[in-house]
Amino acid sequence: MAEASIDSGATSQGSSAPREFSPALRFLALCVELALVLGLTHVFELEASSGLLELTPWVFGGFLLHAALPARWRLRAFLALSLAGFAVVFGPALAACMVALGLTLLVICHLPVPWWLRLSLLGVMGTLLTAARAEWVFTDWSLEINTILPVLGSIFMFRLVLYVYELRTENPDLTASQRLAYFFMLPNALFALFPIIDSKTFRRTYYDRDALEIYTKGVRWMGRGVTHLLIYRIIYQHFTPNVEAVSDLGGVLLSMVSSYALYLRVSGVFHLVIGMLGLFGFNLPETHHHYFLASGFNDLWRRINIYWTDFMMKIVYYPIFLRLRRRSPTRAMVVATLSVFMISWWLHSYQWFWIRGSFPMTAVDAIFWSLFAVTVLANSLLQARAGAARSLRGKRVTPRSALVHALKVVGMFSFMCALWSFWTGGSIDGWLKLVSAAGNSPPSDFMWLFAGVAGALAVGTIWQLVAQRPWTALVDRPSFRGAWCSSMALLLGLLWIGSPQASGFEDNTYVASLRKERLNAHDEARRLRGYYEEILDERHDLGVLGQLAQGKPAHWLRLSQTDALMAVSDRLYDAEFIPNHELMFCEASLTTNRWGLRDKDYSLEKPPNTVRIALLGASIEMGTGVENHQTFEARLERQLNEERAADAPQVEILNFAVAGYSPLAQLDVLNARARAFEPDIVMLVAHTIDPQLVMPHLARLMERDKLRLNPQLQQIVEKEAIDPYLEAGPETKHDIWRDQRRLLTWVYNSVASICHAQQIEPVWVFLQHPPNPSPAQVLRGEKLHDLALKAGFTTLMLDGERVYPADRWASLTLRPWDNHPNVEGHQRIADELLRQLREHPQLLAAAASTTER
Amino acid sequence: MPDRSAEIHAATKAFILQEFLPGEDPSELTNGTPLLSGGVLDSISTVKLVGFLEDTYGIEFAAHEISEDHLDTLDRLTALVTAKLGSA
Repeated sequence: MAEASIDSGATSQGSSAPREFSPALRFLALCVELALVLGLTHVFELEASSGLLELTPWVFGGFLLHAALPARWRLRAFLALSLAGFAVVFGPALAACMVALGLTLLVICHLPVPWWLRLSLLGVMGTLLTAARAEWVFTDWSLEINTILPVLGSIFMFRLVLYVYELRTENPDLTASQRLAYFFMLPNALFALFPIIDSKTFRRTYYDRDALEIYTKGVRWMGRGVTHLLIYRIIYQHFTPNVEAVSDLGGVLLSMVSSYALYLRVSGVFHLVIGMLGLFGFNLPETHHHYFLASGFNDLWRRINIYWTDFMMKIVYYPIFLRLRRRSPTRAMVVATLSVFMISWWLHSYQWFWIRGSFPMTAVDAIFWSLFAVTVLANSLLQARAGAARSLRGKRVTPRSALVHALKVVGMFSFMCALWSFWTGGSIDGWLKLVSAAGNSPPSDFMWLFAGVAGALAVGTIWQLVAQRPWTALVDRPSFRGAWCSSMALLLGLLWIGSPQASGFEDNTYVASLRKERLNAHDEARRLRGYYEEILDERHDLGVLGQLAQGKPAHWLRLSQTDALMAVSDRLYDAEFIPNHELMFCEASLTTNRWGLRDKDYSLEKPPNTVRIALLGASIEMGTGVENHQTFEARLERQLNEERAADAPQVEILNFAVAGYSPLAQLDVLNARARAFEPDIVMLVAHTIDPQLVMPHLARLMERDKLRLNPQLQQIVEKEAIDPYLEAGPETKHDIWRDQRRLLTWVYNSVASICHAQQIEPVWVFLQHPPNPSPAQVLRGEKLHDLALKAGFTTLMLDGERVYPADRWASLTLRPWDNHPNVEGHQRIADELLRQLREHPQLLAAAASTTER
Repeated sequence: MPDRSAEIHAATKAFILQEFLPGEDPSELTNGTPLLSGGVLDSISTVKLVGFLEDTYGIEFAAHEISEDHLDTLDRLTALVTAKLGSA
């Protein structure tokens, strides 16, 4: 389709929509509605990590300007706005680089050489980009390129396939604007998870209706997207149970339903994207259309992501089916359907690779896609045999047909909840364990479940019968005025809820959780645990973690994945820093001194008139993601020395922390390394996560027969019958805590006794990270404090509100996917520690007097 | 050729009515009724229709022709089949 004919569609007046407002008033009303939708994204900080908030003025201003332009200029204006959007989000240099790479791919498609050569060149380009994305090459430029590759990949990984397919089969006569606008769309500057759109559909639907009608649809869909994202937040924050703690039928059901409901975030983003494109005249098909109400597998496949379905039909299903049909239509259908799902599985990993940088192929994925394939195939074969009768006027609903349909919907929803929880759960064992927890419930719980299902069927049946009454058409197809008023009422209601001063919901936890994009309590704990002990495998990053990690570059590694460490065999820890080593770690330089400490150089022997502090800790204390001089340890040392009196001893703080070290490892560090530096004070930094870290560490020591390295540890483990293999669950909760407490008691007592034996002052510092602990975490912190006091530590409880004020948390961490403190976070920790030391002047004074002696 | 087109049109309409719209008033299915975009044909019924046309007229469809551009209305369907027969 030529651009001229597209543009002529812009002025068509073929709409039959009622217009009780004049066009000008209707446009004005839409602008108000759009401003409210975009305003809500700011109020609730929706998709803030993707850069949406920075682009909302561009979307609004761009919409006004675009709509005011003559029709023939609009597509070019959209392209220019999109390119500007990329420049805003990525910076002009990287945006230019991305456009240059994209243009190179397009130029290759149009080279006047045979197709085999063009495809080979595309293969070479693909290999080079793959090498950069997978970091097979690791240079400054590849690191730079890697920041844009998730977006470039999301734009080209499927659309280029469709583009080449169309060029080879039909070779339509298109303008440069049409070709470029298809790839460089404004929403792709924000959302990597919108890779597919059919090129023909993109062009065919451009202003194929009255412009105002398309704009209206765009604004409403964006509003719907905002609603989906807010519901998602409520579900994620308050109705997603910790799978490991589920102990009854209710928990199992909640876990399954919430895992499927979390898909609302994807559908919310898709609605935002399609709606945004509608503002610029692209009247694209509806996606994620009432997918929770699908009545069968084929129905779901068509509803949930029509863009993906169309892509697979065009590229995989029809070519295979047509090739095999003449031999046997049934066999052709079987092969084509199974191929669609097997290739979908592979392509989801391919998509994951471009967005996340790894290529997961797991047993859970295999089972998920196989189950999906078999069910859709069975459904297709049944439909092909029995036929699917349709009606042009809509079928008459009888009580029986309504009940059958309701049964199908409830059955399909239940099946998808179970399947989704299996897929996102990450392990077969974990899912089976979750399901088996339902067995702990009494029969009455199952009766309630049946009653609930019966209730849902009754509501579904009645709803269908009522929906065919003539008067419901007023609700289904309201006038513009009616729809606008309803939409505005909803949006204003959300605005009111989001303005706590106005609504009085300041202390409401539900409303508070709506206002920010953050992890729920157990995901936050799980993420932190991952930094320390690398307990998590990659699959745990699904769900919101996966979403947050979308922008995580492949070079953002764990410390153990870098070349910073060397293995040690005779210690309770597995590795320590290579001395005199320098590397980039989480985009900050990390340098070790001759002793293998992440610190500046110190002599082994303590200089005269010096108070020496040995700092024991893990990744936060080590300073993940900040430079050596920016760690709170380095800052505190500088600040103490700057403010000391002229005759007071200087202070040296030696940083023995290493990411991944549990308290057991820290005890061994004190024994094996820190003592030799003659510290006056040993500062052991604790977190609420510590109890959960010592047990896996102990398990590893036992598996590697390393307990013998510390007979005392071996003795306490045997004497107290500490079992590090106890699986978490409600019935083992107390046993696990008992074992954790016993082990930590031994660690704390050992640290304190070593210190006391050498006249070292043991100081226990508690840092609540992340802030806003759950009641259980608060209790755990208090228990740890008790243990430290009983062991004989001087304790310093850092004030969480001073270090991480509730409203500042996000701005004090490294990146959306990494919640270690950033430079400012370290400064705040140093400030608070300094304040605490001032409140305990006896600590440094005593150490100074020891030094003088 | 107009006779041929009319015959293709009639046969295709009869097939759609019989297979996918049983009991429907034939006059409701007009030349411009949207078949794919209107939900009358889904993927399975589309390949069934394509199979019928291939077998009846001895023609072959290319995969890219299974799209709204070619199959969305009776008129478009008829034009495509007629063109294929004309070029055969």
